[in-house]
Amino acid sequence: MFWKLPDIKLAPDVIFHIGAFPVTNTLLGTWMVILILAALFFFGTRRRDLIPSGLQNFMEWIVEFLLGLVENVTGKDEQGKRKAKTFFPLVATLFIFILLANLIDVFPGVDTVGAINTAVLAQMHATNPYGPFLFGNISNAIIPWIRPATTDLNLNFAMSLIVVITSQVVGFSTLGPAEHLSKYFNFRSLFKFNFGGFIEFFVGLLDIISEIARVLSLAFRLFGNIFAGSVVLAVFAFLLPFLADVIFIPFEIFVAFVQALIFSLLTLIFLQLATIGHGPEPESEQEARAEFREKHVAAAH
Amino acid sequence: MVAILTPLLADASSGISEGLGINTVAFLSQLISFGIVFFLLWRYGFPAIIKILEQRQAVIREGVENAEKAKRDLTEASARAEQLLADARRQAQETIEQAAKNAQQEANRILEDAHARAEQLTQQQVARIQQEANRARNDLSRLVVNLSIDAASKVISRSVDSKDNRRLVEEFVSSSGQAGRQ
Repeated sequence: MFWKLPDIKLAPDVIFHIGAFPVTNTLLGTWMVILILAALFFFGTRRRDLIPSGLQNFMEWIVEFLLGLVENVTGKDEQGKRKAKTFFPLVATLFIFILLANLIDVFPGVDTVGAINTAVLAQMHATNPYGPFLFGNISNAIIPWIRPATTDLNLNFAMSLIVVITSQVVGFSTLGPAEHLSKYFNFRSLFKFNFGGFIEFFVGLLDIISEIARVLSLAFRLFGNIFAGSVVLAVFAFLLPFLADVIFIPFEIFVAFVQALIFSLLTLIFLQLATIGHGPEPESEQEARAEFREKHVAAAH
Repeated sequence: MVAILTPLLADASSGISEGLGINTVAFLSQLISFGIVFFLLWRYGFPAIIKILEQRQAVIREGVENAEKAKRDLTEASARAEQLLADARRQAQETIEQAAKNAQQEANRILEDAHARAEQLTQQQVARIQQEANRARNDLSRLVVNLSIDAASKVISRSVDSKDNRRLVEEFVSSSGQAGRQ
């Protein structure tokens, strides 16, 4: 066999240790993204020309696009703009960071350049090969030095947790503790002493589960899409070298953009929802209830 | 039952998390890394770009306001220029009319003066002619008297008292002159 298909591993590999601290290939991917972002923002904001060009123009375009996106959800009135100013840093950071973390999958060397897995070599009783390419039965024995950061569930969980905790903090600070907690523990609805009230209370409890589910859904959606893309690129690079990349790399770039947009948009929606309380019941409904109650009390008497 | 299930679930969950590569150290390292990115962009990255955008927005707003103000000023200036031009035209017209009126008055005055002067000159000339005529008439009558006396002296060949004759002739001439004038 000329090449073997690569081993598909969900867990990131440890590349080296700093003291007792293990540095994985996905963590190196994260650091690479941090360096690229730092360079982009440094060179993009260095000159600050009134008439922008080049990288400054590009960076301003991204920030304006994200600012417009946030303001479209929060509203363009005074209150909406205030909310947009609060939500923008997190939403924009998530979008740019995830987009870059996804995009490094198509960089040359990412996921394809690395060290030899000595355990596999020992298992196959093979000697350590020389040269830049691996062939034959040990061609899957590579441990990539850099892997896309978003193919690591640790990072995805970290970002999802930040999103959900921030939405809770925003809810507490905007609505106040009592109003915010009443979304989950809706005791007022219990005192309506009817079936609808009980259902409302139960729905409030279900919302606690949905908050936890948000962490999982955000993390696994991103992980699934990007990891799958990474695997597709790797597998097709073996099955149909060069030609498959022409089709799948643009597709992966599109997926990278869409996933970054979905994650940041969902974050924005969660934050926006956190600032909206129960609100009073419609007046007509209250009047109807009062009328119903009066009628029944009169009938009982 | 619970005693049996708990370690099984714990084993399963630890197996799953191990398979997915989830562990506390990796999670914390990724969390801190993302936190650093967020902090850097929140504190330095975004404010720098937003500041430029706001500055440009201010410059554009100022430019538009200035353009509008310039347009307003231009309109006002045009209106004022039109007003000034109209005033100037009106004043020029008034001045021309006043000048024409003054010229007419001056011409009339000069004409009247000329008429008065001419009348005065005429009267003076008439008076002088009258005076000259009177003098000529007196000279003529004196000459006639002398001639008459001379002629009468020659006719009567004697000398008459010239004083008496003169008186007589003068009375005659005078009465003749009056008769002639009548």
